[in-house]
Amino acid sequence: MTSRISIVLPCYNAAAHLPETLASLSAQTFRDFECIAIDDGSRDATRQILEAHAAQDPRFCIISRENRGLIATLNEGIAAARGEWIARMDADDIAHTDRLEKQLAQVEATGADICGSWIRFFGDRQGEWHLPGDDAAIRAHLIFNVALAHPTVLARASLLKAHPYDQANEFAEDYGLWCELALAGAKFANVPQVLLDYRTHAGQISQARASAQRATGQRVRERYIPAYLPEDLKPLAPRLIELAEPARLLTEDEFCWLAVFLLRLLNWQPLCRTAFGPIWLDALQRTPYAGWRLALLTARLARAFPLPRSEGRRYLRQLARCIAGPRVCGWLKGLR
Amino acid sequence: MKIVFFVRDLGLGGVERCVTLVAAGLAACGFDITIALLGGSRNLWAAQTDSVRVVDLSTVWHGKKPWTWLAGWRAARALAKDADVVIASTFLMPLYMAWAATRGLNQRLIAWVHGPKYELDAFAKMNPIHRAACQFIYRRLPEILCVSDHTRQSLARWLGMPVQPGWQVMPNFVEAPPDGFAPPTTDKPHTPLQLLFVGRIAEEKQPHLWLDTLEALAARGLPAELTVLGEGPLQNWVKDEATRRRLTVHFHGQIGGVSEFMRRADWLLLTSRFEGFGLVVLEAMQVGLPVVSTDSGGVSDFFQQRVDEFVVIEATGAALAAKIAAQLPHHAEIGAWLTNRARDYEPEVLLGKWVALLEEKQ
Repeated sequence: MTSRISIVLPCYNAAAHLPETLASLSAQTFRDFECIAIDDGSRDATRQILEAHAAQDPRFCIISRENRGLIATLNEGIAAARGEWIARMDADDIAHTDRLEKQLAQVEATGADICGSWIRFFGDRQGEWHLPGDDAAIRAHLIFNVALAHPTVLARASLLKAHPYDQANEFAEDYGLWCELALAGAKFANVPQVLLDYRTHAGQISQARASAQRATGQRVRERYIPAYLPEDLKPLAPRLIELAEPARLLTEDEFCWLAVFLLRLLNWQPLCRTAFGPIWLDALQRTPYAGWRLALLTARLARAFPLPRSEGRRYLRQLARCIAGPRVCGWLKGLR
Repeated sequence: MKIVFFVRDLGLGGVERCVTLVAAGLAACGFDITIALLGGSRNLWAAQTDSVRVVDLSTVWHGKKPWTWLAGWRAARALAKDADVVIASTFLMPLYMAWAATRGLNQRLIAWVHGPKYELDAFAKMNPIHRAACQFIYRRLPEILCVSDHTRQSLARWLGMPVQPGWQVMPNFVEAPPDGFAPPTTDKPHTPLQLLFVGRIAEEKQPHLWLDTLEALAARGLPAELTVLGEGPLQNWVKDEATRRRLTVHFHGQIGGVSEFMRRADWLLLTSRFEGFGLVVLEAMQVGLPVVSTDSGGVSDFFQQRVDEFVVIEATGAALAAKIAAQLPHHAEIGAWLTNRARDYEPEVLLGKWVALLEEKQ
């Protein structure tokens, strides 16, 4: 008899943190799962740890072979999965014991095909990442960036088998996949609570290969944004793609442009209200010469796109920076 | 937030176009917008104003029928009372009514000034009663929006007072061309050079300069043709004079599709005595069409530190022709610079400034 959920767990030189990860999976309150753990040619004790754990918990199935990289490993895991649902998991994260149970309840309640959750960072970085909850907001959020925390995702297996990860989207394979699935009509959801502790450390690809990741991200946006926007906003797509890049510094005028675009998008899709709070705050943060005019504009944005509580302090800092103006901020920086 | 724009009507003029664009843009940003028509029921911008409420007050009052004034004032006041911000979209009737309707209310009133009042008055000689009434109100308004710094300075000269802290510059904007900010084509300039004028064929546009410019270019060995999009009282004079001087001028009347004419032209010729802003210059910039202009005021804001490359000090055909000849070797670079500069006037950028302005006293 096949399990309802197949967990795909790619492992590469993960021995240091793997036992904690495996323990968190074995302790899941939802018990009807198989875990396909793929040792991607590790040179440490990863394989031995996996085999030892599989000997204790028969729901774990181990594949070990030479190194092929993350995308190939994920696709191999997806191909091997037999469950109706596939859950992603990274080899150094810790799933809360009710993760699978709550995500399954969420997809059953909402009819979603893909479901993530909020995450808590630990290790080198602290804090929580709160993502939009419903389908419309997640689709809107994808204009700018990923709207699902990759290691938290539970997705319909048939969907992932039909749309495997694209090798061309290296370092942003998840963003590329969510955008592709969004355009294919898949339905998204996030459980609005922390269900996974996400370990951060300097060796992660998202930090070491940031530049390549940004280039991939732009390619993904170039495909997604024109297809997502309604007809009357389509002419704005090229400018939006340029300004949406998360590392792009903005001028005051460009921030105005982005703010008005978000307000127009809200007018078209009121459900994206919950998606853009952190987005406009990020944009403000990458506007180095922000003055009082932007402070006024953010008052409107804060009403249109409320910020999560976790962003309150960051907003106040940015507001103070705008009110003080670039000259005073420059002077203060000089003092430091 | 509820905003009411007071306008005379929604005809085809530049002011009405700007009101329509700003009103529709703010409505798309979630503002509740009403446009009150005071002097006529004409709305030639119906397709653009379907997201805003257009209220026709011209049915309840008439400026030349004093016995209807009270009814008009009450209707306007009801709108003003319900609004957070009242905007007098231009002077005369909209200014008077917006001022009167907000007396005693705590509503925010903003006057929007589109033209250089000092130069306009000097040229057109305003009715002294209207001049006194408009000046009386402008002097008392804490907030005035001017479409260019030149317009602001001109207002200060006209009112005989220094620029006040509440007088802000808020440039106008135009719709993006149909296919966005397209790069200029590389097959330019043509032979003969193709010049374009867009606007009224009237005295304030100094049409004799068009012909003088064509002559001066020919004298420099640069044959040129002029296309005129517009109509006006001097059209026949220009036709006759062009024939007499054996110059080629094409007249197309007042038609749409201006951006297509601009894409085909090599230069936009602007010969106005005065301009508050110069929407046509902005349209040319969007499609990368180089511009030569008389020193007409508001347009200088567009060119920033490169103003000398575009604007002649002396309003003569020889000076305009010399400017064209000077731009000729850099035609493509100038077009690209103007296209890039036009981005500062994108609707989204300026609507962002409008939103900030409207939030100011919330």
